[in-house]
Amino acid sequence: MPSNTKNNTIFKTELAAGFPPYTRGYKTFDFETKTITPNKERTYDFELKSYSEDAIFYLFKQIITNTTLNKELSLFFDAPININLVSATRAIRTVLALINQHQKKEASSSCFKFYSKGQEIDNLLIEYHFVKASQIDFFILSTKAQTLLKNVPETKIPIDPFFGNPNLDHATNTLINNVWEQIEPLL
Amino acid sequence: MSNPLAKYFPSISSKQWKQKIQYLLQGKNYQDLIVTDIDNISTLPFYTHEEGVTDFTFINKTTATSKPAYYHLVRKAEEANHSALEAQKNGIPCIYFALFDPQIDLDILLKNLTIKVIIQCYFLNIDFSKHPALKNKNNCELIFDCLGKISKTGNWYTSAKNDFSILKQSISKQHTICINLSNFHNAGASAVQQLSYGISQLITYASNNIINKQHTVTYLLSVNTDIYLEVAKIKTLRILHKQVASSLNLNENCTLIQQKSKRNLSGLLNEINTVDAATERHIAQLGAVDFFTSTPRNFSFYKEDIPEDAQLFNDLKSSALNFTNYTEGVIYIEKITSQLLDKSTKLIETLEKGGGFIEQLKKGTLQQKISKNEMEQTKNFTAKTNTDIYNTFSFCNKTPLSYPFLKFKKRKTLWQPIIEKQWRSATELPYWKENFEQSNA
Repeated sequence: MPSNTKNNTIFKTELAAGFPPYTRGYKTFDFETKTITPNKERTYDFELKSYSEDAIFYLFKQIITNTTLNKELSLFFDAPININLVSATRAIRTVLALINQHQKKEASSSCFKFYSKGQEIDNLLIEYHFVKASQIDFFILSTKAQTLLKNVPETKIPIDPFFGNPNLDHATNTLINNVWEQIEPLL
Repeated sequence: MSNPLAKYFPSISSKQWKQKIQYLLQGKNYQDLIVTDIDNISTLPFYTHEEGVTDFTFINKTTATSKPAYYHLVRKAEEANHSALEAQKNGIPCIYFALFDPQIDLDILLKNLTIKVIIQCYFLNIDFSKHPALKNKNNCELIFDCLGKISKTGNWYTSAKNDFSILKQSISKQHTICINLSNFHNAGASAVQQLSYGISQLITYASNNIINKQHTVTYLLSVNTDIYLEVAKIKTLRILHKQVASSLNLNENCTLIQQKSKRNLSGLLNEINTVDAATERHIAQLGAVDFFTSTPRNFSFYKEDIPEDAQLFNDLKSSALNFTNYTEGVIYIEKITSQLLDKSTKLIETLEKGGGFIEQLKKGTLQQKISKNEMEQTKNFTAKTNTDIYNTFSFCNKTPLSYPFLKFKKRKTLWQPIIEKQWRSATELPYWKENFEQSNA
């Protein structure tokens, strides 16, 4: 097990190459975000109100203190939908895989089911692009918004379509590195 | 430096990714996952750095250079000036006037405007560009489009010789030509067609000695809502322009102005138009255009949908991005750009071998190819359209101002015009007839 030192850094190019693979998403092809209607009765295992390092660290602190983790952890992103969603989902998947490995389990022994909620109808398509790129499992939208979305041409995209953008890859790597540095000593 | 994550996860090569996918396919064909569009641009299931090698090196402008521009169709000088001054007061850095009348009072139109003003002239008039109101107005730029006119209407202003002569005398370092890719987009042309027909016009202007190195060409373009393809298209346009301009000793810089797509317009539901407009402006900025424009007010077909100027200013300002360009360096977009560049270059060579832009227009080749593309696009789109939307959103209580679907007017033309077509019109027309037939203009 590598020791936690301040000099531990993650090579940008290696991570950006999809290593570890969880940065690219759980699905390698044929991924589909499902749209669902809002439901006040719906509950989630975890909620994230921001994409900051602190928020993500707190999320994993809750996860590791929960000794009976389900195979699927539902996580609701209650934050504006933008490019930070992409780096956050990449980092979160990767850190969970690291935790699993650390606990001598398969990296994919538990995984996330992501939920996100549409914020502004005018930005519906822009938000949908980010949601698909992040492999969000469920996109919560009003019935009207869902109907609107059905009338816009759907395009097939590769997994992790924004991969290669240096700012995004750097943001991902920084998040993973900094969150892991804080989580690892707690394991 | 040690890499802690390397201990847990080995790096994955492109070959290993493919093997992983083939395993998950359980015997199905990997090739079936590769999607190609109408231009035969392929999308793979995944990209790695191994696919990221491109033949060109091009440093794109950053998003920070994209500025909002308030679009105004000029009918009356005072009214246009008033709206423009409001835009200026609201911090909009550029005004885009679409002008059809050379007799407009330019003194009134440009009064007290200190921000950048671009006037798209839908006429050719030498005196207009030498108007005293433009003297010492370095912030004001006229753009003239001759070849766009002939492709859209099927007629010259007067004649080829006359039009080119007037055009040459009208342009200068400050006032220049514009090449309208929006026309082709709105008619249903594919990305490769839009790029090739646009650059072919550049070559035509150069070969007729209309433009030289002092002229910075302006391109007008429109986009669909496919982020990746459209950003790649905008990037390819700059690369193509640079390459062709370099070979023809023209100015390698160009100005790109985004306009609302007419092809995407819904004739019934303003909600779709609002969503599309926001997306198109977003994509234009990601593509690092120089200016992205507000939706023209004449794109509203119902009295209740006409936006106030304040709404248009808000839309422009809220569209302005506050994050770094997340599409820069994206491997997927670089690969599309590379394919677009390759195919467009080949099509441009074919066009030039066939006599150039005007000759191909005369023969009807361009019109045929665009029409074929348009029909296929519309057929695919119509097949997937969900008509529940016409029950979910209400348009029946609205007051129609104009007939939102294309009406073909038969007039004498030298060749068949390239006509814009909304791809929702086939689905929407029956609803219009049912609800507004008596109001049909």
